[in-house]
Amino acid sequence: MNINDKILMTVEKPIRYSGGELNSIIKDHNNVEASFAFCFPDVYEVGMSHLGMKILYHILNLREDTVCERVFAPWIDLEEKLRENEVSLFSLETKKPVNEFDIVGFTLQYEMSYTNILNMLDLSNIPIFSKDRSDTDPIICAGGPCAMNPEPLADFIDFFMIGEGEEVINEVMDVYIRGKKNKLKRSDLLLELSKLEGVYVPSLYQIEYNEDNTIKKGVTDIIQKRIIKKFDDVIYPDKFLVPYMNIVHDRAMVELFRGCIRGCRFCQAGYIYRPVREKSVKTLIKQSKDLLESTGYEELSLASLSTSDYSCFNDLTNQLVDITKEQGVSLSLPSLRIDNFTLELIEKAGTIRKSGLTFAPEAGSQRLRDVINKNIDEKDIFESCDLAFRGGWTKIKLYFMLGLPTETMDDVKDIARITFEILRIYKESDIKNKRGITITVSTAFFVPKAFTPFQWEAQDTIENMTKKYKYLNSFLGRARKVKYNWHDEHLSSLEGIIARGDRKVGQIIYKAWEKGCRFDSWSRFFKYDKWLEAISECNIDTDFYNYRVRQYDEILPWDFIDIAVTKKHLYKEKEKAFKEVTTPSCKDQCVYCGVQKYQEGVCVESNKN
Amino acid sequence: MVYKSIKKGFALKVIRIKYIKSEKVKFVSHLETMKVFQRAIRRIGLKAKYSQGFNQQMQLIFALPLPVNVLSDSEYVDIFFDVNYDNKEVEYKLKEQMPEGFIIVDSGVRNIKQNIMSDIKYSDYEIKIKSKYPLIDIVKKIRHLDVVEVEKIKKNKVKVIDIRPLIFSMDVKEDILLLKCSAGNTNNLHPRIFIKALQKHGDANINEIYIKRTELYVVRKQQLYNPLDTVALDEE
Repeated sequence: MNINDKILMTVEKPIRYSGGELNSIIKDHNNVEASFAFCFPDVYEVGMSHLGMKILYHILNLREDTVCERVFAPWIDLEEKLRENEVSLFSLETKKPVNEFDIVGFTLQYEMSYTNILNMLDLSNIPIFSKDRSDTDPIICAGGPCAMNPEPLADFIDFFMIGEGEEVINEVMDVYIRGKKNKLKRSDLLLELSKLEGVYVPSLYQIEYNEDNTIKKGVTDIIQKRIIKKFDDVIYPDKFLVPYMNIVHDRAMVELFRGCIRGCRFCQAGYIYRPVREKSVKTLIKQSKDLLESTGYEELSLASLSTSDYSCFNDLTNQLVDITKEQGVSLSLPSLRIDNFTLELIEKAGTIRKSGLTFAPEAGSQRLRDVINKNIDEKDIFESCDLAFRGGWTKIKLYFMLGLPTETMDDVKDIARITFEILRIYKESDIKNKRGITITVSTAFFVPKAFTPFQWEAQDTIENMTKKYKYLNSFLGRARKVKYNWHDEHLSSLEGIIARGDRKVGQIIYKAWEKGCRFDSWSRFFKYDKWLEAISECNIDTDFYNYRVRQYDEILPWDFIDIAVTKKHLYKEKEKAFKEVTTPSCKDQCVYCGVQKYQEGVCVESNKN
Repeated sequence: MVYKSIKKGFALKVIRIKYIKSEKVKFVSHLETMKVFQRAIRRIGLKAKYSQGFNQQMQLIFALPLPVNVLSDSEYVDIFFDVNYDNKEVEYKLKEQMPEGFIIVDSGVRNIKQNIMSDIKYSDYEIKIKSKYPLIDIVKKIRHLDVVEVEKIKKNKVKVIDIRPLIFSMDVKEDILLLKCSAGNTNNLHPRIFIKALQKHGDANINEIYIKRTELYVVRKQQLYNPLDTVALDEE
């Protein structure tokens, strides 16, 4: 018995680390030119649910010259055993130590996973700072939505891939393999990689600051985000890894489109994934069939930012119901689209999950929804709920944000008003056999993100956040049939610091990790006091990041990245927000945000009209 | 593949599959194993029978749950179908579709309405342990005890049970302990409870190296048979 097995016998859920799942790919490392360790800085159940990993794992392993294996953050118990036995962190597929891979890549899905990145590097015996790595260490890279502001991780990551990864990952492998053959030094290899579109090598740039801590001279090149053109043809896995253990999203998924036509002003994804590019019904049907056939999954879901905005939604779902019904597979539908069409569809399918219905009005009042450009009318929600109750649904989930710009206590109170209105609709509805209803209200605190119209704005203070959730809880907390959850305000405040942080913020992350912070997004492991200690030891005034309103002409840490949406457009949107003026969706009217330069997707289609 | 719809009133055909759970999948739990079979059946496209109700489940009955990190040469599962299939064809298709580590070895058709779970009465285990004393001495010590008490934690309560009546036989072959014991849903001896007894009455420092289930038995006319043999027996 090898040492890994001996350790795994003693930890909780060893299946997280043992690999061997259906459709996992094992290659002989001696028969490939390069190896890539795909690291997800959270536990297996979370990481395995992530679609991006499934896509890139598939693409990398399609290459005959490359092997890609998975690594997840070890749970606290395994970390302890690894350290105790001096065993290096290993991959799932071949149990190879991470530091024996050529390239180690992290996906950045949320800021509060960053301490796990440092921890995983450390557990792999890889120097945490880029500057300390030698030619024998792997090259460390990162990508994903949070790479849109890479600066807080600039000292730890050798290169970033900005934007969509399907194509750039292949270019990176080509350059790496060529460089390896030519025995390029680490620094020369990074220089070669930096020539690729969308690749950012932070060590090539020195940042200079003004006396007031704002940036004087930032990154001197422009890094263009990568987007996939001809999205219908993009490589998509015909096989998903099928885990043994229950994971968060344990089902087959197809991606209907990338991007979002809506332009909600708080939403980073809505801006960075522009333009909206759809796949054809034909492609999606084929991909759904392939996935169900190769996985045997009992559930199929439609993944996208605002699924019901898909152009051929009715056609697609009609066809999917035929397929899933025949195979005894249940189809998960997006909630917002509860109308007569979906009710008929559900009737026809008989296998569509009816358990929960989710709405995300984000703000309680129409005024505040206009500020954030969330184009949901509460009338639509009420009508959908009424229809849903008649259709047999009894669980409603509502998502809101607290701490949005211009928010007043009246706006907060309106969240309770909407909740009670839905309760009233249920009570007064003439449906038979009322089984009782539960409404779950969840609030997250607004965190201003890079590349949104609110990127210049101050975040709400912790005191205000506390006041607001307590105020809301004073209404919802005593209501029967209503369950109210709120995010931790301290965590949201830290997320705010990192989300708009510059390179200096990396010191705080490092210090916090040193003090034992990891799995920060898991409330039972979140150590706010350690973060505060870290901040004070770094002698950094974090109010500078959270609570300051930035000026238009200030150099923001992420300004060197070009997402195609212009800074001017974002600023215009910010001004409209404060005037409570909404912006139409991309399908209704082009507002020339800048992305039209790609001549792709919705930009081309809306020009035709 | 044989596709013959069953007329109303006929008993449904149930196919009994025998499989090995090897080293590679030893951390896969009982419930996870059930999902593995369900998904494999769905991939093949077999028309399995589903339970009725709100949360429809494919009907599978396993002979006896296998604890995590226990290997097995002889696992059995009864799969219920809506149509008639040839058991050998199901066996071969499953063999292709199961993830590496699950090895399908044999199959049969179950004809009587005996639930395999309540049918199982005995089990064989191979147990390898590390101890500073010779294995044979520990076994001899246990053999001579009339009562073998072990503490068992059930629902946060500690209960002392006597496992002596559950032990059918113990043998030593080289450095491996061969245990035949009661199994099934009434009198089941969990192999780790047995190891606990070895620790308590033999050597406190015993370490488990591996446990492997080697056979399961049903009883017919006071004789032990493996669950596939009964398929022929029950037809007589």
